[in-house]
Amino acid sequence: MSTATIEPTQQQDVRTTFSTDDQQFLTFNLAEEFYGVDILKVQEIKGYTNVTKIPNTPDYLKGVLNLRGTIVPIVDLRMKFGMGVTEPTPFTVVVVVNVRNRVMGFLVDAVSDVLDLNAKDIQPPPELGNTVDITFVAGIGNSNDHLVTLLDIDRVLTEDEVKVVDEIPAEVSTVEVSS
Amino acid sequence: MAVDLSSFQESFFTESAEHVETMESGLLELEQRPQDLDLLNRIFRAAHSIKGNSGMFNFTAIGGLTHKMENVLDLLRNEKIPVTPHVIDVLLRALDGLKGLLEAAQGGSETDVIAIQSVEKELEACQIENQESRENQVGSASPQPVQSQRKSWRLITIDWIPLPELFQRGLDPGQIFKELHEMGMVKALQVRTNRIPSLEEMDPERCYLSWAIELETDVSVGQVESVFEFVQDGSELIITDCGSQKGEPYKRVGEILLEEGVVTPEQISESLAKQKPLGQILVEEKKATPAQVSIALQKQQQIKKGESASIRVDTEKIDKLINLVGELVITQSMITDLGEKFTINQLPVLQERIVQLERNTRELQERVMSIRMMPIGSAFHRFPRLVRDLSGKSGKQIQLVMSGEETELDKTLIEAIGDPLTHLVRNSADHGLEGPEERMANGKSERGTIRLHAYHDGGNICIAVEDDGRGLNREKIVRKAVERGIIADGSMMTDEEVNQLIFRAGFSTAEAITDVSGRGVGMDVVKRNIEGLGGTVTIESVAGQGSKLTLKLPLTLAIIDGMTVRVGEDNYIIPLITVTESIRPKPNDLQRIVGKGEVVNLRGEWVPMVRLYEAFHVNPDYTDPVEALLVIVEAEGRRVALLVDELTGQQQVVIKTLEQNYRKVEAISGATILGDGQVALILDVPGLAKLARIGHTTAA
Repeated sequence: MSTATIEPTQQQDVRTTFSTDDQQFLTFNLAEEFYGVDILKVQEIKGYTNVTKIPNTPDYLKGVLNLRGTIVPIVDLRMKFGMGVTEPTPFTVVVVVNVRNRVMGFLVDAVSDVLDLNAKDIQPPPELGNTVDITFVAGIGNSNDHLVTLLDIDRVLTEDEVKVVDEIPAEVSTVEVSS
Repeated sequence: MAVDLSSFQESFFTESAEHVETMESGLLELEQRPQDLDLLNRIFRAAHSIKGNSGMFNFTAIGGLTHKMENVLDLLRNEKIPVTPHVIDVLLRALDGLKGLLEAAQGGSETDVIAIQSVEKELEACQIENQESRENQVGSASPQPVQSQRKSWRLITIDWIPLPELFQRGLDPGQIFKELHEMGMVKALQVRTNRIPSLEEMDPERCYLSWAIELETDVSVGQVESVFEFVQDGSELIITDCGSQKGEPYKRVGEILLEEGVVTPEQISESLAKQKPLGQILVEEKKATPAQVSIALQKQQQIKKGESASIRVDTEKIDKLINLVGELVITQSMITDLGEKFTINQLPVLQERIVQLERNTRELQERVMSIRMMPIGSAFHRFPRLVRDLSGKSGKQIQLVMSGEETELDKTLIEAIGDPLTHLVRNSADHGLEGPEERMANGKSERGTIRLHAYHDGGNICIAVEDDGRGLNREKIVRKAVERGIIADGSMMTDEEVNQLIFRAGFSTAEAITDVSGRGVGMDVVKRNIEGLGGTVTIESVAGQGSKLTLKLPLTLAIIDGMTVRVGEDNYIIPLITVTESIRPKPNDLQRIVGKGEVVNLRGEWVPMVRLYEAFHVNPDYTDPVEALLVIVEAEGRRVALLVDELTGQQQVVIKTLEQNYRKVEAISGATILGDGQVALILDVPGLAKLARIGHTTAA
């Protein structure tokens, strides 16, 4: 009882280490594989509609979508993970997440389930050496008969933004110095 | 523990700012029309309001200064002293002091106490002059110190702990404070909450509060006591007459040293002048870079701006809005009603109602936007004063003519154009206008004129700053630009291009750098600021006859008129303000210049062409310009032709930012949502032109 009430705050603090006993994940399919994201990051799930392409952006950025008046960028998670382009099917959905106060959506083949995982069921990401980039894998979970790759969605979606945010102050400062 | 007055304080500051504005413009007008008693009364009332309100919040310094100003104004009003430029000068300086105090009270910077003291002395001197002159005229008794007018005023402190059953007896402490307020000035009102018990023990019908009040009044203690007559039973009441003694107020080190004769006012001012802003010290000690400091300052500015983010709206506007919403609700219910039992032969009725809904919505939108609209006059207010000061400093005679002050503009824009406009007016006064001798020699009237003119032009607002001075000196600008290595040779340039040079960073032709302008850090900032707001700056200048700078701004930032264009499957919005025309070129109008990309002949002028499908990597219907369309857009004084498949229409679009959830994208200034719910991107025309140029140079 008492652990349940303090859970949300603890999760905020240690989001990748899974120190709390139970955590819920939204799982989804991506090219026959199972993935999961922390359910507290998910804002909503939306059917796939046509997006507006943004020129001169990375391929995996599918475009932007109108979500009740807000412009939301959509990332094709297959492209991001190097699995080719997502071909829209009736099951294709957009999982809308809130990452560091930004609303973003990612395109997945289908959502499957909400998974309750105990901390002891979560394994740390495997050591794959330097050849494979797995910074956005938070851990591996086990559900019934299959493995679920748990994603650290903050890292998946904000790589670019971090770079850009770093660039902006430099621009401002040169402007200020010259004036 | 005092009551939380912060919300009232905020309105005090907004109101005071308005009063200060009234006083400033009033004083300037008064100088022109010294006999205008109405005007004087208006100034007096403004001063009086500030004084009264400041007392309520215990801002004694503000109250003190306005009180002294009020005294002088009163003498002017009673024609005891004449309106002279000197008096106006002193009052204006006092007003500056007052602004400083208000800012300090608002949590801003430290105020220059010495300057305020000296201006207070000057105010007193104005009054004494009056005493002396009257003495000379009438030869009457000894001169009386000014304070004598208020000799009977005393400070009374009241300590009141009322009976807990106060409310049950049907008594209202508010009434008592009201009566006290009528007796004089309530300088401080403190509420003590120490008797409030814990929540479980609290009886909401009992009074647990007690008050300490400082009252400045000319009535006796007995009269004050009589106010408490009905509530005295069982309550503790201590009324003390502090006489005219106000006790030692808080003093700054400088003031004490001054009083003790250790230092002179000049020395203090000098030392104060040496005080550096913290940022500068940090930079000098290499603890922070200038960039970091300037970013921090910028943030501070933003926070400051955020503080005063309130808007005053005419009740009439609100009433109209409510009516409109009423209409909208009726229309909506009519449509719902129709939808419930709809048959196909009612289609015309439905269409008619949808048209009505559309009309309602559009009107509502316009009205809501108009709430943010304010007359531009509020941005013009500061200029009469500025010009007066500049004219005094430079010895030039300057006349300022303003027109179109009633032109309405979005509030954020009004705030944002204040600084650029100030800069332009200063430039005109300092560089544009000549001194009286030079003007006479050139056959002009001694007095130079600066004109500020605001007007609507389509969906834009234009603000022109015009002077009848010497105009831009082409040769000088070209020489300077060559010196600075900005251009190699000016002989090929058009006048307009030469004029545009003054917007380059670090460019100034002023021979002497005055404290007003001439450091060349202005025009580029002006241009950048205006362009940041989606506007443009143009210059017209005739040597020897003057120059005219026109700022062209969109009416509002949130909604623009856009032209929708299609390239393949994608729709884009081009801000209508940038579009000059659209053409379908003839084959021999097109030209490919090696290393410079493509150009198109537009009535003899070669305009660079950007193929949007190439820039954005999309599949177009046409790749041959002869089959497609060229939209000619203008940005930063340059024209660019954009190749598109089709113009699909013109509409007002609500600008949404991409940065909120994604990041800035090159050549895209934002996005909008079209009628069908799809997102369309808004083109950033200057960025696109730049992108095209870069593309061409790398291609070469």
